[in-house]
Amino acid sequence: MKCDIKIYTLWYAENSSFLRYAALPRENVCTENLTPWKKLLPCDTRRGLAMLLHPAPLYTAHYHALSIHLRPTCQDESCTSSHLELVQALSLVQNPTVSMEGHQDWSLRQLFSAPLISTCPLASMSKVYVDVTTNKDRQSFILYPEPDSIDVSGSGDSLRHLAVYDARQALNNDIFDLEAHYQSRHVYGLIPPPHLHVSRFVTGYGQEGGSITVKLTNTGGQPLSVVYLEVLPWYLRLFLHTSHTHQQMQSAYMSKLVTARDRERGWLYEAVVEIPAGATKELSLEFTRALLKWLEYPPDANHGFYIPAATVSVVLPTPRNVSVNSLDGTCLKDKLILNEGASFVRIHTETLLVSLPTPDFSMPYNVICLACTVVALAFGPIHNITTKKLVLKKIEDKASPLSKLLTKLKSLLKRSKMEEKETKGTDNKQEPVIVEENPLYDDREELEDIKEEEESEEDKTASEDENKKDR
Amino acid sequence: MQSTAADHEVSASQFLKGKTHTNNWAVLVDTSRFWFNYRHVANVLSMYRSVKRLGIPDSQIILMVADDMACNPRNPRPATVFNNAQQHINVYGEDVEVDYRGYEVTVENFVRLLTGRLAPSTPRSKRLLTDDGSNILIYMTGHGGDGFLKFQDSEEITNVELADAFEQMWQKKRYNEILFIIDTCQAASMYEHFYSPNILAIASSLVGEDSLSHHVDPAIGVYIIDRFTYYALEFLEKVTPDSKKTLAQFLQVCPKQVCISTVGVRRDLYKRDPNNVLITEFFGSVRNVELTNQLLDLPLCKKAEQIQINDSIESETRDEGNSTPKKLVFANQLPLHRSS
Repeated sequence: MKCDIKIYTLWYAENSSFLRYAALPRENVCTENLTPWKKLLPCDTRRGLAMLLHPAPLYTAHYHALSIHLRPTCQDESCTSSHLELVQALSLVQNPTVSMEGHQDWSLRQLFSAPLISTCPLASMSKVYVDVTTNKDRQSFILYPEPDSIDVSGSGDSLRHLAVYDARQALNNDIFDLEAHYQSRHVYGLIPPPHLHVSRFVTGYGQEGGSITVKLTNTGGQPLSVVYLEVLPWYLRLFLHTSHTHQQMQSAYMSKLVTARDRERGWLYEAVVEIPAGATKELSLEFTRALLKWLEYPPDANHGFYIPAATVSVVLPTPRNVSVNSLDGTCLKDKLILNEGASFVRIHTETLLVSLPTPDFSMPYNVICLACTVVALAFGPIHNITTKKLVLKKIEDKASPLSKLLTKLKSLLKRSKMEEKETKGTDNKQEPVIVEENPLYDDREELEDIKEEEESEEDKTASEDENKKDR
Repeated sequence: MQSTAADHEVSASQFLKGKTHTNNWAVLVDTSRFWFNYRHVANVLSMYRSVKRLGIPDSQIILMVADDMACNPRNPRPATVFNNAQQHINVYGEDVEVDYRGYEVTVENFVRLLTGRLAPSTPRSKRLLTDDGSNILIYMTGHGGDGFLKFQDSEEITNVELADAFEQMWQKKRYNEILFIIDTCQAASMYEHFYSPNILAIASSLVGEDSLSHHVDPAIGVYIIDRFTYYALEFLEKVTPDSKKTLAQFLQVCPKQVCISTVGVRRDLYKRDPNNVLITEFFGSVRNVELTNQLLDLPLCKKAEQIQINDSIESETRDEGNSTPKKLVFANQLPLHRSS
């Protein structure tokens, strides 16, 4: 855990060159992500709370999120010895009322399809917390077994009561299966909306342009100052003037901008937006879609391109109805104890799917086929025209067209009647023949010789073919 | 009687002598993307399940899957991939580790993986760290044709490229023996050009034949697995790490009446007789056992030891005697927000 490199607190707090930002918008979280995540735990999947995490109940849940937070920390003010802090978190939202006929009854066995059997011996603390704020005087549900203690955190709006179980002690009786039994059916009441909520979407139509729109809603009673950070790929070409001419956005100002460079770096756009109490602000960034090179398209280009989530950072006046990620604590224990007062929240918005204009990927193949056909069709006649000239052969017998026709008919009749007795040479003599003549050969006799040779060769090949067929 | 006993001895010695490898690796590749190619993912995961069950650790299995079927929104049973419509075996399992995923499954990455020409920053899980004592099982599935195998509908590897990659591996002493299995249409064309020694190649179909899928699962709406792999998995499920099943038996796994295509085998590069090669020499793993005469005192994990362990950890990083951990100091996370 100990790191020899001295990291001074001011360094990465005020020098942004120590900050790295990356996003995987396409990541489809599944067991293949969970397995390496579990392996980071000191007891792997063999012991401890991680044994509860079976893929099937996890991925059939309504919502699940897997996260790793890594940051440098210091052991003392002078920061002579530094640490790296790794926080692993898994969030899961399930709906027990669907399966329990209106009752919200739940148990570890039901939620995770297994009770807790062991704790990790390397862990200094294994605790299970249940939020019992709504369960005043145990009227709505009964927890079984009874909690070891009840912690109170926050005050006013953010008051929370947390039932605490020490899993290590509870595991003295073999297995630990926490159950909650509700007295009555669940009635959905009004849920107070969070202080700030954000939604982000793509607007516009067609393949040319569009815009990314963000709606920021402040439901609280005080104005909020929000830092909006957008990191976009270069193939969306932003028009920044549009975001500021919007009437609503007069209070917004751009605090940081790194313009994109094709194929090198993406956009970094950071704006500070003032949202008055109870108001909704809309921020929009217009863009045009770039055309990529043929080989830059992924194999499923027609599916579209995922645009990473934007982040919204805000300091809320009270930690009401949010899970605050405490900045000055490492353990869940520290994070659950809320302090009244300003609390920092970072919201990640939705990822977006933008379809870029995609070429017809079979086009090169089609073009090659078509072009080859056209060339082949054109080449033959052009070659013939340019290399040969048409000459009419003199025919001794000057017969009229009508008599020619008659002789043809006669010869046909003769063929059918006389079968193979007739010799072939007699018929051909009477017909006019057009001979193709190469202008390179001026000597006609030579040409005729060649023609005769060709004919004889043809005969030969014909007879050979017949022989082959016989075989 | 004596002669038969001698024969047994000979065969036993052959078994022992035959084992020429010191470690086992597996490279399992699915080259197909999109939901309608569910069966190819099921194929590759069937092999993954088998090699993992027979003892090859995840660190020595390179699994390349081009698309996510298990948590695909179209999958009615998230985090599962089954080998048949009756859901007998969840081949996806509970602790799958995919090394190359999605767009990472490319011809370039595959050839680089085989030949070891990877960027220095490549993590260990994406490297084939084999040596001249490694037996490698290479399994590929996807859509193929005469002389090529398509990767994600956008590029393809040819049989010549594959043969050259294997030759490079041989020259770099990256393998002892290779069992190459390919389940695709006209699969036999992929091993035609191999010219490196010690490769036994099995193909699900001959040139001019299609490899066929086994059956449709109406719940997912697509074919669930291919025939050759379905029967191969059926066979492998009965194999245990100490079983005596041989490669020759594996070659008979899918006769023509059930596979419909003819299973092709190329033996000329492989010196040993498949009858004398155990299936576990490729699908299992060599387990190195060190013998010791000394007595080891293993402490049982009881309360006292637990506390000891915890104390030792705490003494390193935290204050002793005080249960609350030492307060760590964090950098100012919000340098702009100085009012608080």
